[in-house]
Amino acid sequence: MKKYIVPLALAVCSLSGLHSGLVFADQNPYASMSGGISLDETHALAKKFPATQWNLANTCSGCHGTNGAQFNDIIPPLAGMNRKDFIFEMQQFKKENSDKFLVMGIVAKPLTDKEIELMADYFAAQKPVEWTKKDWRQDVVNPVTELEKE
Amino acid sequence: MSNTKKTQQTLNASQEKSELSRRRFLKEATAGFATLGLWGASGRAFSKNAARVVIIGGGIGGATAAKYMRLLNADVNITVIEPNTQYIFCPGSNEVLPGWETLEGLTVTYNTLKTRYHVNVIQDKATDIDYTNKRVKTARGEVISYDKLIVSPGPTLEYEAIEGFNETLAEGNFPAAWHAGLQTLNLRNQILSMRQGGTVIISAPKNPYRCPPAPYERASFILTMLKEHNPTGKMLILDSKDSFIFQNVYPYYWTKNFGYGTDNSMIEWVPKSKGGEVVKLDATNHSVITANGTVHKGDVINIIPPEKAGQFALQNNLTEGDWCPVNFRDFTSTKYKDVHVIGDSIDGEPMPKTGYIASNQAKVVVQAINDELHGREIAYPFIINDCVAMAGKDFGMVLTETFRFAGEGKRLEEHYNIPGATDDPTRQLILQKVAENWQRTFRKDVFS
Repeated sequence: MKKYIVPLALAVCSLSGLHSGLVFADQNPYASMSGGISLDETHALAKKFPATQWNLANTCSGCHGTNGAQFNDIIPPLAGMNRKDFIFEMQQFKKENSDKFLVMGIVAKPLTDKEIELMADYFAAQKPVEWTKKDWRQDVVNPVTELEKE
Repeated sequence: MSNTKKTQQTLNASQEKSELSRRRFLKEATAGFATLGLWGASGRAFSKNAARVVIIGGGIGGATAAKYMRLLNADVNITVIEPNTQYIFCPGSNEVLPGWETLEGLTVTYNTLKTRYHVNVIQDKATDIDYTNKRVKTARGEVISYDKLIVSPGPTLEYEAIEGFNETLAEGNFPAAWHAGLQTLNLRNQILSMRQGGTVIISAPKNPYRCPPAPYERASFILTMLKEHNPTGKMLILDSKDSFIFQNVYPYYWTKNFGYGTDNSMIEWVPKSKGGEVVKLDATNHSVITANGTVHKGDVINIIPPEKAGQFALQNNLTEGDWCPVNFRDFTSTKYKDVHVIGDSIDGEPMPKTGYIASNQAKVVVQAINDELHGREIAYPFIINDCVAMAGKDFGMVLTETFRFAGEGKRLEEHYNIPGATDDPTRQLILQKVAENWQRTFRKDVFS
């Protein structure tokens, strides 16, 4: 985790040609940070050393469950998701403003279009799981909004 | 009944249950070839020629390796060697301090791995690897042959690196609580019974260590407890480093809720460069001493010790210095053939030591083993760390790191994003819910 340390991260940049360094949105102490190699560089490595469909899809399982088939309240299952919908959603996430995203914006950006298509094929081929908590905004967001009004 | 006693009883009870199923398991295992056939994931007996994959350690790395090996290959013989009959998840264990989670809720067994994934779980302690004959010896004298060995022993906590500190003290009045368990409950009780206006000291370790945000998450939860039960209480973080992960998030929460940065702050963070590095515990006087000789008296002292590779890895010469060197194509040891090392014990820089990382390393390893069994070229690895953490029940945070293969003999290349603190209470709460949701899903992904 040393690379999160600003001075060390800069030191690493000067040592490694691949590291393009940190990007700060502004001087705000709570600004978002990104670093390591750039998105272009990570996309280039993805093309040079392609990961398998199985490897790509199974990086999702920690949150979305084994084969994308586990869900609780606010993280949806991916198993059985329509291929086009998956690709559309992921491409939307990739376009999200870096300071507005929740989770998937930062997950989607390092992935290439080809990788997203491979993942879409994998999950489309799984036995569908219904997301019963589609109204999670009702359960999670609205109570907070109500609290704010009080 | 005290929480500690109650938990102990519950743990004992579930241990007995696991012990029963272990006996049944062993009985079936020795009942002969025909019975073995019932366990064949493909509905038939494992062939005598089936490849033998042996896994040392039933933590997150080891359990994921066992389950995902089976998902990839119905025919291999999979054995996990793990001394404990159950595992208490570390992710989520800080929540035990304020009582938002229980140890029971974090405890899982190996039953599903055995019954659903047809994994042999040997409840014994692996001691030696005979690299020449490809065999593992256990404390009870069993000898288990392997074709491929996966070593995932977790870290060694180096209590003695802090002068005057040791494991006995950690199990007594100075809980480290860095493996979830009774020390976690002891720390909770100490905080709840601390005198009004007392000080809780957390000594945060140098890098690298398990779960980088956890000391700061822990401090935040304890502050919430103090605000409720002990509003004149104080939190002092003495740090053996000069910055920490989510430093663009935690100070925001501390400023909003605990006066961080003001004269009346409930929390102070002292980096190494300002004298934060704890080098000694004076147990008699209930104080810690830092590298510059400053004495800090604490009512509750929580020293998180520095770490190195697990004892099993150290004893079997898998380390160079404190950690195990690996080839990043497939996490094979650079020192011994057919041995893969994963999880907190490896020198994995720039990968941090997290459960999510360990589980994704396990997947890369079983894919590589399966490729080799099928005579295919070993695939290139791809690893993600989606790290979630909380500051309170109303505030969560998340970061993503991806790690790409960059060529033989090279380390993986990282790209990371760490969103800063958000003013939007909806996003704050959603991220907290995501963190809670992840803990549950991740436990199931590894153990169910």
